[in-house]
Amino acid sequence: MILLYAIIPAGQPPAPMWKPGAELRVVAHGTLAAVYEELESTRAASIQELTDYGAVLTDLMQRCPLLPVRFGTVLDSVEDLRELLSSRQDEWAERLSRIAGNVEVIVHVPDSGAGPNRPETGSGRDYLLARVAAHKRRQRLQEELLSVVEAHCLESRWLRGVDELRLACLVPAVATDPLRRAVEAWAGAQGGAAPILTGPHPVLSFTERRQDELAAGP
Amino acid sequence: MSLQPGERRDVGLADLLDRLIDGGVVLTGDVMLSVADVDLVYIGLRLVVAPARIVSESIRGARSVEGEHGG
Repeated sequence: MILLYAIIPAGQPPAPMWKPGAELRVVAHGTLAAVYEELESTRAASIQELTDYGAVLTDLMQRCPLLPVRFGTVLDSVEDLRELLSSRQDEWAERLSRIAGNVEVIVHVPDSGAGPNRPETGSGRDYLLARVAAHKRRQRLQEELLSVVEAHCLESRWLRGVDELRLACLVPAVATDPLRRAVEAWAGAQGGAAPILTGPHPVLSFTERRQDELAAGP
Repeated sequence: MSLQPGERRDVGLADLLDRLIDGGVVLTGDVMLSVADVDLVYIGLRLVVAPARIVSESIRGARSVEGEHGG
């Protein structure tokens, strides 16, 4: 049984790879390769396992382009992995080419005016009007934030967020500072709470083409 | 109020962990045997969907509790 970490281009040996107490291996097929770990059996996932998995991917992203695989993905054998690399060759090669040289940065923008979750005081009409106003405010914030980041990133994806906007941005690894400065300048002009930018992360939010791109074809 | 560098690192870690269990290449079909106990991990990470400042406060709180119980 093997635990899959990432898809990488073949011929770019990422060794040495770090993980305490485990040996990470690479298998290649065609233009792609996969990084994996042999498991004797499935084991209980823990926060430590998850953190270690993230550390491997973060280390690996310094060495080569990679498509990170969702945590907990287990295959039966290396032969299954080769078949997988074969069947997804074109799709993953195209995606690897797209994300090469880029990292993921996540922008948090507080949205304190998210509106009431349930009516507490006042009439039902007041409650609904407050919800509508909060929705419009959030939409305006989203549009403004997108217009700020689009000049600095190749792609963006909205992530779940409560009382905040959370936007994942695919950014050239050498150009994260201009994005940071642009977002901070925009937020400063708004006079609101300072945004938070995290990363660079492995490109976990950009491993697949967006649905609208899929509909439009290659 | 702005976050301190250590608090920013906490938010960054929370973002990374959130994406590890909710992003990345997803395999479907016969080859995927299981997604091992991810639900258990997700319960522990429910704070990840909270705002950045609350995530940071929650992580600090968890560390404080670990320190009290773990010596």
